[in-house]
Amino acid sequence: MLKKIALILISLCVILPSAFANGSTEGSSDDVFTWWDHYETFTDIVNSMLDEYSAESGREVEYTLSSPDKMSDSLLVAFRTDQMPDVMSLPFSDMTSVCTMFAEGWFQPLAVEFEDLPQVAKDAMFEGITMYDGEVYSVPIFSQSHTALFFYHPSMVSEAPTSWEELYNSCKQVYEESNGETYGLVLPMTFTKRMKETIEQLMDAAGEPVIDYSTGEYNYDSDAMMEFFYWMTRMWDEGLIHPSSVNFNMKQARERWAVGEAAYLIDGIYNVGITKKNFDPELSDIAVCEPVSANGQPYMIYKWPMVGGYYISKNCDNVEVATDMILSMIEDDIMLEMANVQDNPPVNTSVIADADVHETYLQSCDIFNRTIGLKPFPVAKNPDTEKVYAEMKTISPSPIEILNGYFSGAITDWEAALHEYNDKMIAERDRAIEKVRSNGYNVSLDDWVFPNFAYGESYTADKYQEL
Amino acid sequence: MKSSVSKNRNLAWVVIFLLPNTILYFMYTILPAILTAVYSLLDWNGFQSAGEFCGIQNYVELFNDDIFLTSLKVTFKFMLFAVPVRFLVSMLFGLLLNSRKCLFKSFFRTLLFLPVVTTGAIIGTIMIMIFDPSHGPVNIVLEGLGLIDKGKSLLGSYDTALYTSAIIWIWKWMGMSLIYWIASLQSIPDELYEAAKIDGASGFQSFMAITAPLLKPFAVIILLLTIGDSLRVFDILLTLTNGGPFYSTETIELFIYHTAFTDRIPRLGYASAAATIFALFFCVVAIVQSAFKKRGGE
Repeated sequence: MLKKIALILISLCVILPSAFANGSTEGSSDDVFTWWDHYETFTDIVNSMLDEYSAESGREVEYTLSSPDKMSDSLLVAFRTDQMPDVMSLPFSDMTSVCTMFAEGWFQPLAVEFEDLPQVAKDAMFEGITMYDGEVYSVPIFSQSHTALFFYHPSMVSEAPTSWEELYNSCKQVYEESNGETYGLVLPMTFTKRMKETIEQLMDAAGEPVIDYSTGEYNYDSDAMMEFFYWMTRMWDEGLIHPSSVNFNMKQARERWAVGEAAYLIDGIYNVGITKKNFDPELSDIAVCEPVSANGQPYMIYKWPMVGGYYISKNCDNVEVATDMILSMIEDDIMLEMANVQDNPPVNTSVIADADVHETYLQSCDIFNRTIGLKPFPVAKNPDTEKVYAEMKTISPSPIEILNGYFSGAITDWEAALHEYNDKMIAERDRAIEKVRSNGYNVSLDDWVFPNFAYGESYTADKYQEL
Repeated sequence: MKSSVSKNRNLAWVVIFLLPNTILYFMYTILPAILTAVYSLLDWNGFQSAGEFCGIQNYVELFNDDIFLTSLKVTFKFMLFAVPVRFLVSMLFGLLLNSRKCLFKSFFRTLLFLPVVTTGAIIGTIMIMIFDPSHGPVNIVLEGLGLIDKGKSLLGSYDTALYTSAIIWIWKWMGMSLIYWIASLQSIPDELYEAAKIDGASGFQSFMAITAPLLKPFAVIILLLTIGDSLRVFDILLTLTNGGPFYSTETIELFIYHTAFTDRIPRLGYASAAATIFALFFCVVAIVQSAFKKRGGE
């Protein structure tokens, strides 16, 4: 009897779920148009657009806003289970992830020809990032920006620092004048992806990018990196960095800075919009200065070409509507609204002049205009290098983890740890190159060598032709 | 003939009643477990729709991965600290709140149970503020007592983060163990205590001669359940420390999560291999638990 019951139950368990699975609809439901987003400041803009579409078409719309971390998780699960939204923003900061996603068929092209796009969008588009095989897969909605801006409270800081030493002195003054109640700097140490990006940008500003483009070798133990570590560890030892930094994510660090627990915060330009929205509607105590690692010298921060703002997923069943919505994001009136919320500067920077924005926002835009250049992109030189990036495993501890280790008492010799990290990165890339080569792809260390790269100049598309 | 029809009818009813639960258990427990074991044999970058078979390569790499080995150590350290403390403290509270002399029993039981029904993520967020080194109440009290210097980050220090997190976890789940203890204590007949009292036994003697021996089988089960709970710690640590500082609170569950979702290139196969090893260890705990249950039953 028991055997019979068990046999029947097992058979049904296998048959019934598969019957349900076969009957399920793939991807987005026909009745609901779904939009996943991580740009908090665009909530109203996107929602009004979706409401308008819903009223016209009678179709139900669903807008989901998530933090970048949560959205990354959701997208990975959605892709694996074939339940992607119709339109999505991409919270993955790593350019190579986008290349891998394209290769794996996450997206479908927009229903628009490149020639029909506005000039501002065309200028910001690159093959292999927003275009593939001449087809448009997304349009950048932002212009280039970086996350190495030093925001501070003018009520605490009389003069903006231009070097690590000046920053140290300023932090010390703030700490001493407040009798230890206010810290000099607060850092989002648990937001390792962002901190990694910021540290690399600080190295760019110091004139020593983390890749030496003349040899293709990694340069994570450069003099500039050592200087950064020296000042950070010194400030930590002297209690000038907020002691909770070790546990803070970006949101927490920004909150503590905004309420005046620390004088300085290293962040992106959107700090202005978020501070205005959540903490200080008048923006009465905010100012910005250039990355101190530049030591007051002319500098350049290198970025890869901009990824698109929004992509249409492979599951979208109404590409025309999705295309219209995405393209409407680069119309001037929407760009102006985007500038008004003081998030990342819109791709059409000319609208900023008409926007109602704070002086700090304008200053930040000016910094970007003067100091951002395109960095050499191995995938643009040889598309097969995308396979190498995908094969490379994460090496730990990374520079930000080493710093975190020092702050928490786990590491004392950060210098040795940085050398070790650099060596491991070189070895891991060599291993990945070998593995990818053994799979029949033509890749080598030379793909990371850009002999015509000159610090201070942008590595524009024409430079690839010279190689 | 009649008996065979009736037998078949009974069989149909048994199947119908068991089916919903069995299907759900199969879909959400058995099937994912089987798939995890299968995925563990794949080299699967999270952005890809399918992985490539790589044999036991993920397992070989895991046992050479310092972070995985650290996460194993952290998981055991957490268990070795948190389980005895939660076990003993909840037992003491159980004895106290089961005593006839104790006033406001229901109030205190509710108070101790409240954190159990509060979301772990919310507790994590609040505890960051409570343990904040600059303005948190814990630091203010410890400073006031002269036990620490200014601005000691208990959750931010490599030496203290795990134990501080464990204390918070113990506080959150204390109520659950308390329920087990109170239920166990209430199963001991009052007549035994009355007889002991007539014989002139003191409170301690009653405990040693009646309570302790009769609680023994329950204690084994509570201990094993607590071990199981401690191995599954995830949400509190994710919000409190996210495995940091410097991997000092990176348990296996966090390692799996980070590897599968938050790494630069998520690695589904590798995370599945870690999950399979973890599941095997859990099976060992479950086997020990059922062996003890059996012995308790006999």
